[in-house]
Amino acid sequence: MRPMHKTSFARYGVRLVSLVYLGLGVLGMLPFDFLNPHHPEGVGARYLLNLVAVNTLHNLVHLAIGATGLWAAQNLDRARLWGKVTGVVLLLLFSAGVVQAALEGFPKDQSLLRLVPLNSPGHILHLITGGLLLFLGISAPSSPPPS
Amino acid sequence: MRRPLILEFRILFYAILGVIIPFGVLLFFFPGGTETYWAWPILQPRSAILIGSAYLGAILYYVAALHQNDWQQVENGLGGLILFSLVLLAATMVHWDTFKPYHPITLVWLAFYYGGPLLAPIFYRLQIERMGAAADEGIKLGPAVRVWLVGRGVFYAVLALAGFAFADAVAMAWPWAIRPLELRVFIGQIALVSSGGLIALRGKWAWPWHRLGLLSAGAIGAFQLAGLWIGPTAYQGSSPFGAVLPLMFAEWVAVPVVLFLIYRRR
Repeated sequence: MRPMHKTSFARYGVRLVSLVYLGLGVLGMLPFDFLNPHHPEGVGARYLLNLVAVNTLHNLVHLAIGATGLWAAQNLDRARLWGKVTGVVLLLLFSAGVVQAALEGFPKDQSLLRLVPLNSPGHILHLITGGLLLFLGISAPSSPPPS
Repeated sequence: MRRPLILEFRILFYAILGVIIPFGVLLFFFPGGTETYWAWPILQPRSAILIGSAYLGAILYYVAALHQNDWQQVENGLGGLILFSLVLLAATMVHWDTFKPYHPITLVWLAFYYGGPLLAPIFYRLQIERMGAAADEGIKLGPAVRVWLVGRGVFYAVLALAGFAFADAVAMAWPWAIRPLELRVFIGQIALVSSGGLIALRGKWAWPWHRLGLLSAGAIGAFQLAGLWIGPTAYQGSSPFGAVLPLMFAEWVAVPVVLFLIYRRR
């Protein structure tokens, strides 16, 4: 079995979550109704894989998270910092989204700042990936100084 | 050498138990009230029991995993957790319109099936880093058992793929009125059983690798058989799947029972 560097799990985890976001960003850009059906009711968003409400801006954010995460995963310290920052941002986004949904009476979907469509599968995606990235950023020890 | 589970896995398993115990108890013992407590209204109590059996059977796996605290016995089960989660996530995608979007169970359901495929591989990596890989120790499975495990793995994988793809047609031949959503969720259990066989292709043939997965599959089969018996509505035994279903569940029970009898004494 290949030897593993201690703390490589943090880079591995950041890479895995980044690949998921990159994949979601790419899939979300595909204008196929069978893949991302348009839901004219509510805020009129497409549902990525019939689940997560998205629009072009939302897809670009997913792509940006994926691309920057893959870049950050090349280096442990960068991966830790990226995990902390992105984790906090996603958890804030989750909180803002849920508060807005509660204020609006939990609609099927909503538009955050009239820019980004959100719905409950999106909120939970932000919660799980945000919490996981924060865990990766905090729990991995920093890389040892070069000897 | 026994390698204990890392704290993160233990916490994850306790969290999973915190979800599957209420899921299993509600669906299996109170199958008529899904309109109120479940993420979508399950029209037929038999379908609720069919889904709930998996959670009840899985309780045994996670309790045993925490009790045994042995990485070698737990490792193979992670493949099943990931596969089961992905199948149920796919079912959720296909049928999202049926779900109540902000029902508490829906939110837990989403977190559960997003979380499994993400957390399991990362914690797997962390486990190996901290504790090292488990050795292929223990009594080796015989050639006939290996062939049976791999064969049933491939068979159930094909069954799961075909069932998921053609759920509408399968539902027409089911022994009770089942909807494609409930059928696709049930197919996650067939995928789970198949993963126990397919994972044997890794070539790790010592009994401890397979022990807990088989225990869980057997428990699910036993709950399913009990569910068929106690189900409160009519069961069309003459329908195309009417005879197949009990036979399949009996196989899920028989294989672990036979293997435990063979290998436990050695």
